Amino acid sequence: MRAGGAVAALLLAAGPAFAYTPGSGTLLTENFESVPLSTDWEMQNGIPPNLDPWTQVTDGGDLSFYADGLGPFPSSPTKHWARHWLQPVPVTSFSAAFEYRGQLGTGYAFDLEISQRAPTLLKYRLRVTGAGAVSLWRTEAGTLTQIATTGSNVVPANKTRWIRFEVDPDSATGHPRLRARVWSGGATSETSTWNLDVLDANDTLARVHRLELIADGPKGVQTWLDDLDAWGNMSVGVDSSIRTVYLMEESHLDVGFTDPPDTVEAFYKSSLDEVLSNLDADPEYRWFIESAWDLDRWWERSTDAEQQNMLAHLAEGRIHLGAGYANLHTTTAGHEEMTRNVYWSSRFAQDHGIPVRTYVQDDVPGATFAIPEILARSGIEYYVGGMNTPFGGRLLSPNHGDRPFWWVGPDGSKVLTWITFDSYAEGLDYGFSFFDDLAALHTKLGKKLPENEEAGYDWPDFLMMRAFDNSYQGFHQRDLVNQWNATYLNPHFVLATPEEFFDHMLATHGGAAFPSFSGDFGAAWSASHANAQNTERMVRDAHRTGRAGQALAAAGSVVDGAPPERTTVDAMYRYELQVDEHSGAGGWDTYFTPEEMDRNNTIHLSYAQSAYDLSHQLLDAGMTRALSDLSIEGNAVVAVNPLGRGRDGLVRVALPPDLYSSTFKVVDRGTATEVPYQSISATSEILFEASSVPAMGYRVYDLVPGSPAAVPSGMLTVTPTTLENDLYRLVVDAATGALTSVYDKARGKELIDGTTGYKFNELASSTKSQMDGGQAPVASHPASASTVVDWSGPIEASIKVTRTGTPHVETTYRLARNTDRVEIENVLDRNAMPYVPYATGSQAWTVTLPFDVHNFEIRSETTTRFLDPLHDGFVRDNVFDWHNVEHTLSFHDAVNGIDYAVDAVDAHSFQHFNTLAPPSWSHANALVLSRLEDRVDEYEFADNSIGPFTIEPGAPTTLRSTHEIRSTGPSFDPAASSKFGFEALEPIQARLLTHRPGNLPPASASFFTVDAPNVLLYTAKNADDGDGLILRLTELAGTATTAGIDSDTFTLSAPERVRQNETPGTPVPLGMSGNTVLVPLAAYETATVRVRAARSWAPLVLYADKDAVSGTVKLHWTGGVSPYTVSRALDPGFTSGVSTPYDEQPAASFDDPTLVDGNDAFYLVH
Amino acid sequence: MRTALLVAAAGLLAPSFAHAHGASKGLHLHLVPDRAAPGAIIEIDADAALPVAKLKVGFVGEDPAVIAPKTPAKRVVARRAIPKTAKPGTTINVMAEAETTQGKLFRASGIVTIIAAETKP
Repeated sequence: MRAGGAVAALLLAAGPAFAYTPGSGTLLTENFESVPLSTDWEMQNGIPPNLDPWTQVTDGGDLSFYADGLGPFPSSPTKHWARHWLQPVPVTSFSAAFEYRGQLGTGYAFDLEISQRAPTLLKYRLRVTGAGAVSLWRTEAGTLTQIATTGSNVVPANKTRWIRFEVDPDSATGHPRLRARVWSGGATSETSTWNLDVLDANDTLARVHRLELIADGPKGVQTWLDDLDAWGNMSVGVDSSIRTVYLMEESHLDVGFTDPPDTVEAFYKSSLDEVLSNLDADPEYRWFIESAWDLDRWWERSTDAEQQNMLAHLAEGRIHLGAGYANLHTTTAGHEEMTRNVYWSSRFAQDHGIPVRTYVQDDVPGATFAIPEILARSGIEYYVGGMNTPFGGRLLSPNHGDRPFWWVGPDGSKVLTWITFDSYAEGLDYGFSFFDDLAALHTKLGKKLPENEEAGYDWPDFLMMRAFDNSYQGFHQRDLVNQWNATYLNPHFVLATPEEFFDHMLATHGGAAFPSFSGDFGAAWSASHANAQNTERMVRDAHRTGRAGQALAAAGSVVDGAPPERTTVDAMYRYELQVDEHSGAGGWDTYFTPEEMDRNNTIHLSYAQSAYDLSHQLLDAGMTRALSDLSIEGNAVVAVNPLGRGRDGLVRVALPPDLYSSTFKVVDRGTATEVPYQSISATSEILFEASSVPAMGYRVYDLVPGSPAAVPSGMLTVTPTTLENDLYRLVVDAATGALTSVYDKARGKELIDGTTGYKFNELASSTKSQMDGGQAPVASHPASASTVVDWSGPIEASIKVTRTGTPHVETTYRLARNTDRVEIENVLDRNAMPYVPYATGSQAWTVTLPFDVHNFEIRSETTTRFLDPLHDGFVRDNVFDWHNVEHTLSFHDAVNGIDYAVDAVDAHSFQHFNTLAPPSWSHANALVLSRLEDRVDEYEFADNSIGPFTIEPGAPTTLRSTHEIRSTGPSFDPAASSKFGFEALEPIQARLLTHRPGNLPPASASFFTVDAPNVLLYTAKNADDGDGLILRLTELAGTATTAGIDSDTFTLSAPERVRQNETPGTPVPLGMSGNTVLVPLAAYETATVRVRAARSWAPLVLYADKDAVSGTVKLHWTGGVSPYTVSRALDPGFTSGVSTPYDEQPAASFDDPTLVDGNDAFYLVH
Repeated sequence: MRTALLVAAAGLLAPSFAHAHGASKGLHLHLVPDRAAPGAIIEIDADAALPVAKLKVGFVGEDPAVIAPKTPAKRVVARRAIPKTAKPGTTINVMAEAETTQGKLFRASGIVTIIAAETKP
């Protein structure tokens, strides 16, 4: 059948000099002249060995190309295709003609297809069949359907023919009219009639995006094409529904990676200097400082004048500062550290009166669920994620068309968010690469911009990120933008900060126009810290110790009235942030010389060491200050609980040798009851259980001379292979040192799955190739093992395992009396691990913990709250199959449940490690694998030599980790799991104090406490501006709660809710009931509360006089806390002649008539 | 099947021990020396994950050199003079784009610290 009739004649010159006039078109593709096809044709669609199914040949002085059989598609092994990506042009200007010769035959087809990719995917096809018929096709319900055809042999086999294919809107209906004509090869003019002319009455075609050639036939059947010409109106630029592109330019910070950190610091000084010059030179220029680290380092290296110039520009608004200090592995950041990531910028902004409105998280393909709340509650309006999705999972929902969207946190906080799908460097793919010119921009933009429309993006404005690693390129982007805007109509480029884009979107469309998505996309990449295990151990310790030290320092500043500690706190967090920044030690192949690698790694290790050292200094100083006004008679051990909940726990403290060797009892001062203790002679330590140590507070235990008589309750027994308390019974395999049974006595359940083939607490490893293949770890059996009773109570008992022939050299299993926790301390000797040559890549080590829990629910505790990875996560095409936890990983099925915590490791997997991200989380069998060490020994240096390197120069090779386990039963209790993890990893601190006066409550007290068990008080700190204290607390269980904050030691007043980053905002006054601050919390909400705290006592000042007549010593005093006690002794150390003549009396005076003239007497009033 | 191909490529380019990040996947630059005076010649050693058909390399603000190795190789070395306008005490980026024989485009950027002419690197 022939469709359509003759149409107006169109006379064209034959051969390559075609012209086309129906539209206002210019040539889109001109023959194949002098240009390799792969530069403008997408040819690399094959699979080895046939990567280029189309072959380009020289045809006289011209180029042509042909396809043979043996196609690239497994599903269609004879099919070839070649696509040419056109600049999207209006359909009114499109036509294509080409010279064709095919060998035809049964099963053969040749197609020329054009497509509109957006706003609706439509395809039209011209087909030459194996019989030589020409047909036209259109998309119907997503499927190409033939709508017209000629008879056979219109195109004879092995004969050259010209073919023209046009798709133009019909002038009357606007629907596409499809036409095809065939005329003789070698003709000097084009025929004037159409072989086919048919209307597609179904659709409306706006633009043409793509030309695709497909040859489908058996091997040996060839298709030849020559002189392919396509026309369209290119002056429009890129025909698109996207009309304005906001181009955001920045440098992506890697602290290391491209160069050692000291070089990177120098780079940011230079590049930001040039940025300032650019701002002076061009009022249209824009820059975004991605990470505050950049400005911090620049500031240190700049003069006052330079700093003032920077401030002027920041205030003016064409350069903006990002809210984050660095690009973190956000799920490994500590509870307080994640908030501290926005402090530097916030403070800088406040100090200098500049805006900080956008948080940018680049490279790491995702971030923790906590961020929307942190930003929203810090007055930071926008989030931009330049996500490196090729290595981390592409979001499927939200997707392109959902942007911008409100990212909603668990508490309902939300922040307007933009994410990329081509990383922060996407602008380079759109035509802003290093050496792109206007033509390259035109070509690339035409290819990339429609991807957004195809994926559903339908706003006329678009945010494009252009950044590269520690890289700056002057006016390159500005120049290209200016050229483009002067040449093309669409899209219009605007050099912009992200705030300009977001502000425009909100002002134009209103916030309600954008969708909301609530979910998490963290846990990406952070297992890479496992190759620097000392670093990981130290920074995790610093997270915990630093937070404890900060809280005690804050309490101490109220106790002693001295200025708060801020320098140490700030420096500690700065180091923590640099460790948890995503670059780290090591590096990509060929980046570094041996010297650079060593320098890079040494600097990164020093970040962790400094964070660790400062956190311990802070804790030590904080304890000293917090306890400075605590009265002690004789010797006492003060148990200090830096956590925000009251707790029981073991106290371990070293005593001076003479005291240790004396006979004494440990007496709880508050209850006057003796407490049983355990002596550890090797270290002159004692160990006892402290009960009910108040939240962020202390409890005093006096060491009283006398024989200890207290007998602990409950049972605790140990043999070389068995260990049992009231709650658990452990059985150790003497041959391997692994556990064969962990029995939950209360529930009557065995916790170990004995069917997996793995022993419990057995060493295993996976090489990179094994991880790539998704294999389970390979167990590593010791040559021998011996087990001995290490301690045998009365407080704690343990079995020590020593092994030979394995890196797993030592294990200590511990149970404490009355304690619901199994503790396993493992020691790995890195030197005993096999050397990992370059060809192997890496070898990851773990101990295997096969729990009898299956098809389980998971809760991973990260920054401030528990995530449910299976349900909370955004939908992605793959996930990094590990769980980052600061304290507790909890999992349960219908029978058993486990709380699990490890001090030195943050990444945990189930069943196997993966190099490549799988599509979903493993949760079938709870074989727990913790990333104890990824050993890597060789690196390809810059000169391409392969040799050894040290990831942590000078660090210990003995790696110690303590695994804590609790049986929970088949349920999840967030408050209990949180309490378990915090207490397991954050021991009670202890301080031995000797005789001194003081006014703090003598037996026990809480500096700060919260009355709701589902509310976690995790931070107490001095306010940044010096006005009072800051307390941070989070609701964990999803239940709206009014929490009461109280203090035994301080008078609280003027409480108010403030921003999370302590910037001014508008504080909301909080109510009080007595000394209790009332904090209403929504489900999962984090509240930051400023409270003014004052000592609830006046300092005690003692006055002494003597009655001249009677000789009576007359004491009176002011301040202090009633009731009062007066002690007297013959020496200032109160070691001899000690008596208590005035015991817990209300009056602030005492007359002591008993002194003997000439003797010294010393009084202590408290 | 295309998905499988992409995954394999990611594995090829992402050593498990390294932090799997950076925009410069597939191409690394090493600069010898990486501290140089204005006008000095430095060697830019571009190391790609796949054989390179064409390498463009240049400093900020100048046209790139284009190198097409006679035999495609993963490693291509270029020599470029530090711009004479570069100021001692600053840094300058050198950038490179490598087009592989398979049509992939890899990018990398490196930092050169500019020193005074009389200073030894």
